Amino acid sequence: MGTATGIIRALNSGVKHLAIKRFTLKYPEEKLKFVGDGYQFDPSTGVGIAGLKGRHMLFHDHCTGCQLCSIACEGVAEAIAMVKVPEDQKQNKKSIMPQIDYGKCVFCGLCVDACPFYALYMTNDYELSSFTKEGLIYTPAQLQVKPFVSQDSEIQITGLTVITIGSAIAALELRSLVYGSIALMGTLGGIAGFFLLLDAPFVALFQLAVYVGSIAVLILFTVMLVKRELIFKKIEDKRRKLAGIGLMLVVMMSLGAVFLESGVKTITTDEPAVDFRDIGTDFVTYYWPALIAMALVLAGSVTGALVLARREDVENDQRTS
Amino acid sequence: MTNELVDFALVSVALLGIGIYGLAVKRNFIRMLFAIEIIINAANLNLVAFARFLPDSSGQTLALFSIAIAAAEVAVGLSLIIVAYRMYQNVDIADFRSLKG
Amino acid sequence: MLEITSTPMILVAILGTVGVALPILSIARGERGSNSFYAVIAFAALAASIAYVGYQFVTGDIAPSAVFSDDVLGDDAFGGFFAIAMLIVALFTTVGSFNYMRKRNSPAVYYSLILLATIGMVLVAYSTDLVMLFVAWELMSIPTYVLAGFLKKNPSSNEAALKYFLFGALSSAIIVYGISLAYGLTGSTNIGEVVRGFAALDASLMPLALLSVGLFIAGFGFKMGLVPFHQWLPDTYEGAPSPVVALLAAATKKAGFAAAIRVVVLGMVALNLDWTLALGIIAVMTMTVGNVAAIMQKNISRMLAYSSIGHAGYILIGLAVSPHTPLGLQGSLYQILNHAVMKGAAFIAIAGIVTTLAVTNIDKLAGLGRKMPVTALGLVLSLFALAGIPPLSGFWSKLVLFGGALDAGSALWWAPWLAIAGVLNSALSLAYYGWLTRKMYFEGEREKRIAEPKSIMAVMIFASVFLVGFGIYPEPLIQFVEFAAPVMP
Ligand code: SF4
Ligand code: SF4
Repeated sequence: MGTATGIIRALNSGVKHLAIKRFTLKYPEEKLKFVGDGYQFDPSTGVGIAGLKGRHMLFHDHCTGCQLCSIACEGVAEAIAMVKVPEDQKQNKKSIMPQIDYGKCVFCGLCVDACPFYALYMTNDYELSSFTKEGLIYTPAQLQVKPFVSQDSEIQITGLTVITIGSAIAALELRSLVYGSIALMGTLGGIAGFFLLLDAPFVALFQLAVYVGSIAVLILFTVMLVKRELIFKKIEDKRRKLAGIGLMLVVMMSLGAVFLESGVKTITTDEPAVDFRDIGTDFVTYYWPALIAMALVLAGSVTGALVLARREDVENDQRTS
Repeated sequence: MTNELVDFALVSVALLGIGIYGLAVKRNFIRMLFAIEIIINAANLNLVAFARFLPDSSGQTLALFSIAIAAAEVAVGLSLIIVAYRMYQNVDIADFRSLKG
Repeated sequence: MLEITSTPMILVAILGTVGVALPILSIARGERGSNSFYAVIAFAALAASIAYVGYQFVTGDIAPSAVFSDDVLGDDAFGGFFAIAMLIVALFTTVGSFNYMRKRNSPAVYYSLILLATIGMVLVAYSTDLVMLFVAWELMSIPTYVLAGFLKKNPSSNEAALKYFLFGALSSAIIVYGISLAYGLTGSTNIGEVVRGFAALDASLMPLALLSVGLFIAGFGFKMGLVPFHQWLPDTYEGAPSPVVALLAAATKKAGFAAAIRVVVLGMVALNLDWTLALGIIAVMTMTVGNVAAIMQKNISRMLAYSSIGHAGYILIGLAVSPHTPLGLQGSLYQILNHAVMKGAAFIAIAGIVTTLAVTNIDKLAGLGRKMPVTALGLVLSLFALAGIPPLSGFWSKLVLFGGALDAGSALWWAPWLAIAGVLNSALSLAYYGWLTRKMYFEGEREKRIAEPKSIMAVMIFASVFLVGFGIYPEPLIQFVEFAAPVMP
């Protein structure tokens, strides 16, 4: 009796759990979602701003070396030590700044409350594990770095991938060219989203302005200009289509395999992204001849396109008159 | 960065494959232009992804060049289509003489 | 940082400024300017550029071929060599267009695009950075798309342009993809650093490096017309305006080779692979397909188009054997220079025939030797030079090329076969060149001589003097080529 009901109840509860949402996250594939940038404290009003109490962030230009944070921690964990700042870095009068040992820190946030100069905040970075004890000690220089905390970029990338690839297929397969060109905008916009994810906001903007804004619109206009009924004409034979799909699969499989097998698979980076101002420097120092060539390309293509698109008969009239 | 480089590379490979499929199957000039744009975008995605993971700025520079050049290219391609349209009132490549090897 | 007074930048300053100024000038003159006015300006710009580069070679004021450089452009003899070859062809095209463009619209834009395309090719040859190479490649391509479709009322010109555009755009997309991989693996776009990076690459990343080089070969191969990337070429050469075809066949192709030498050949040395066999196979395939198909053509433009596919095969022999003998690259460069003159002259001759007789069918060319003696003579000389008949200049370049293949025989068992294939192909090409010559000189009724366009005659005479003169006395050209050919690292 007891056994049978036990089994039934177990089954019942198991089946229920198939339907309800999972409580846990599949770390590290899934990450916590945060609201805000982490715990902060405003000494002038004495009000804290709610947020996750993760790794600290130290603003060197505010820190005066007053040691109040270290004193606050003394009764808690003795995690903060005031250390000398190397000479080549930003200094304060005493040349000392806090260094935090995360082997000791209990993330109470009292040091943040204690700092009167807006110099110490906490961030959403909670992935601090290290293979050595020394690795847990963060120097003032390390504390200065803003951590890159990805929230749910995995979800973003999946969504973007679906949008980009889906609309790429739609651009080629939709019967109407007008919708096809609108779908192409989806692909181009999706790529711009990827650029944003990859910390290349300038390229993303350029992509939106040039690609989505002008190329796609230009295509759309041309498509509309070209007679309507002809747009819907579709000439394709089945065999070529199959061959094309086969070719596509071969390319995807082989290239995908090459990427997956190669060392690329494990590459990730913790380094901060390049500043987009560096691109400007590149342009004027190293790539400047290419920039000149680019200007010539644009000049050539504009005059060429204008001459081609101009109506000849109109032009002839002008000549004779 | 929690996303791995390979995630982006695979998206780029998929787009490359779709572009090649389009070029192989479609015979409408504008569709083929779409396919080429898709390939160029796949390459740009690769460039920016590599630039992020290296990290280095010249990948972004090249992506900018490549976008601008694609614009120039498309302008010329579309004006050729308009010329063709005036002549044939059609833009299907199959209506031209077939490609003689 | 690159000096603003370096040779490529001076050429950009001359050709680019004139190229941009021409359309503006035409608007300022109310678009009424005659064809000859713009042609003369373009001619002057090209002649000044050629004089500038030539002067540097004569005075020896030019760095030896360095291949790599820390900048985006390498101011060396290799680039200078290609610049001269391309500028000669551009001069041919400009002079040859003189009559061709007489009654057509927008001459200013036409010449401006020729100048822009030319500076693009020159920059491709000077590029030592992948970004620069790509931008220059587009600067070369985009104006030629327009030029190929310049006859707006002519369906075959438009079709030629559309096909050329599609394949060209595809090739540049492939090149960007290749660049993206090369950059991702090495973290730099400078060709020198990419090659060094490839050499020090982790074994697990090797397949990607190979893929990148493969994409480069395919991308450049489209422009060079290598088999199996050649399908667009005959249609385009048949339909596009003939002077433009001269530019395409004789110059843009060469830019493809310049890029291939800078990137592929040297990059592959770094990869340390047995890649040469692949190039050898492509070479043999390319020349065989080109020459066999050329025999069957009825249209002279198509015939020459296939023959130029064949010639891409010969030039590739030199690249394939280059790691083992200095003669390889020397032969290639020599053949490139000769082919630029020969093919350029041949297509300009066709432009002359088209403007006066409006035929391109080979059967209709009967009796051309009497109708247009100078054009026919120039055409025949170029054809025989293409076939490699002594004592024309084309003979010597083939000699060096095939000699290089034999020379590499000690290191590569298959290299002599390349030479044999090349000789057989030359014999084959002689068959159809001979057939064409017979048509022109020994067939047809006694026709009267008609007036030949003076500009075409000028090109013919120049080409004939070049081919015969350097055929009898090849010493200076051989020295020139030896100086310009890069030494394999
Ligand atoms: S958060 Fe850490 S360092 Fe700050 S007072 Fe609490 S235990 Fe000390
Ligand atoms: S972080 Fe704040 S409390 Fe600590 S030493 Fe600096 S200024 Fe004083």
